[in-house]
Amino acid sequence: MALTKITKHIIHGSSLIQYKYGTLSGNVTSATDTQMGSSVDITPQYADSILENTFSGDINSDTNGDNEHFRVALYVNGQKEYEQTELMGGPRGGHAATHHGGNNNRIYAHAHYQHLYNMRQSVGLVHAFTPGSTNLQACAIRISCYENGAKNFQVANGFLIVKEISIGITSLSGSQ
Amino acid sequence: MALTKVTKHIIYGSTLIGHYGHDLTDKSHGAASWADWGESATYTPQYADSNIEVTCTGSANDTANTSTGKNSSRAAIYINGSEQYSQYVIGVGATFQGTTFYHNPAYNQFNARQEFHASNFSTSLYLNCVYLPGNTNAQVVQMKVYSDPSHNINYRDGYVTITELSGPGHNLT
Repeated sequence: MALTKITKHIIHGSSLIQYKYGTLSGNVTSATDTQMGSSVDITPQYADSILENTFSGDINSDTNGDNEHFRVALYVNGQKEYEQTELMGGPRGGHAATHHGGNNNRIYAHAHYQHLYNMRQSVGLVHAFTPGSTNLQACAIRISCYENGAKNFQVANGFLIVKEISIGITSLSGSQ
Repeated sequence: MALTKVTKHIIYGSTLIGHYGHDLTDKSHGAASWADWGESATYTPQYADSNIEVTCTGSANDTANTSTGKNSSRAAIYINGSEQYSQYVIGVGATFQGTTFYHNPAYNQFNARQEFHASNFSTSLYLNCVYLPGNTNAQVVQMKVYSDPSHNINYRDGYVTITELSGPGHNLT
């Protein structure tokens, strides 16, 4: 007689039910809400499981101007599950040359504004949630400018890992 | 008779076969070449169908002034001498706009302009990846960094984890 495999029910603690991962292809350029690469689809084996998502990548803004702050979010089945909203950010600085005069107008009066651009940084997010069902969960990374449509930016080198973890010893308290 | 331990084969889904974590010694690097960040770790998978998950957290600090261009610096996870995953971790450029000159029209003296600089930008960094070695050979995990040649980057506070995930739970659904 073939042995039945051991399931989470007989294990003390949690177990790793399954995991999937994927490289999120492309160097995604957008200002408006855009998905990066394909989703990582996983179907929980248990309705009370936890899905843990971890993502890493990088973000680059190569346009001038202020308000250089952007959002990277985890969407599950088209709904926002977690979001980081203040990535980068760029100061706008400069000075105004207000002194001029003399017979030969030696110094023009102009304001000189300068900006940071071509900023890059690493971006990473970690999140866990309980789907509460055994329906397929399409996990995707979406990006957008903080002020939607205001400024293009790129997210690249994306890698997304999704793990189904059984709920084991419930020794934690507090909100999740 | 002593009981035999349960192995991954009898468990539905996946199991955590092995786990390792270590600190990285801080690294200062300012050259356009890959250099080691901290010490390597060698992990030998127990099963050929296992997947290896590697994560790295840390921070990067660019001590140089901004200048035009991308000035991008990178970090990577190398496995047995080959790049497995890399990303840009920090980079800042500066530009200017407006009429940024002084001149003396009577004597046609040279223009001059003042350019804006900022320095000491910092960021946290996070890298992760999972890969399938496909064998039980030793896996040498080394973090590496690459800097824009005009920027000296301090890579600090590095911590790496290496986890062997058993194969059966991968792509189960």
